[in-house]
Amino acid sequence: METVLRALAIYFALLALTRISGRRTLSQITVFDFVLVLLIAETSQNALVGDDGSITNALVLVATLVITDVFLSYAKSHAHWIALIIDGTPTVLMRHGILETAAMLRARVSVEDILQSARTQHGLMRLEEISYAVLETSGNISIVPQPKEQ
Amino acid sequence: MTPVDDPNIREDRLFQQGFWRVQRGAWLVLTFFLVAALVGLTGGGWLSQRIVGDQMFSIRYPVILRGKSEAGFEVTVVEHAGRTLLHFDEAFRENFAITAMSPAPSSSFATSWGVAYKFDLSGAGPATVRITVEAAGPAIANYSIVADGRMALLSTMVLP
Repeated sequence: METVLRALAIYFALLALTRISGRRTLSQITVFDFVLVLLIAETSQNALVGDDGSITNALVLVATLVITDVFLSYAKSHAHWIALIIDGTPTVLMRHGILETAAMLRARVSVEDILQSARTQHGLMRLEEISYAVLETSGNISIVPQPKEQ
Repeated sequence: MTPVDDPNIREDRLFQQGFWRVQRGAWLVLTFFLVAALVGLTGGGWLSQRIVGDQMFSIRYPVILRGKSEAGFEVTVVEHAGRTLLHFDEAFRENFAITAMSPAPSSSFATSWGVAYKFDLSGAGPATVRITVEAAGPAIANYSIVADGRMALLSTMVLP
């Protein structure tokens, strides 16, 4: 009982903390972000396991986490508002070639981030070549190039 | 390549703007939590301990403590005749497990009120008995310690 409650508490606490930390921490992972993820994993391990290092405890923990994850994925597909809360919504950073600076500032995405995605995805070198830039719920920045002149 | 007029991005900007506000609020809460931790309000720091007593005796005790963690009590008696008697009530025993005492008590005995420890002290002047305890679990513990007949009513918040 305590193991299940402990796992649920840590799962939802980490989920909430990851969500409020912003999407950038998931995508475009830097060395600092990587260190942060490692430290969070190490820190939460003790709270998750507690004093019980038995195989039974580990199996109950894993089962709880997997079932919670499966349950949430079903809940997301059936209720749009749950998906909105857990995954968020795509954010348009550039529309018809015009930067949405307020959204970029809020989402903590720089012009360099957009250009980097443009180079990676389409080999584009300049902002003028981009029509749409979208910060996806996965944390990636999707680039839609400007239509080419006929 | 076909022109892009409507990329059919299912953006919910209204929700996102609300979420950004919640996000900034949460960062503020986390910052307060961090500051609280720095000053000891989550246990183990400056504001996590308090001293009560009078001119004859004092007790330094934890007011905020984390469950399953150790903390120290310091009982200082100013005047003693080579020994002191510390008496802990049942509430203390229910909330804390004594893991170490310095100096070690010369004797201990149970009473209807709790448990008492007798300490032999050497020399004149103030003497301090240090008691290390481990908190049992989350609680707001209200308990009493009697040092040579002087009672101190204490309260400790044990965090999860």
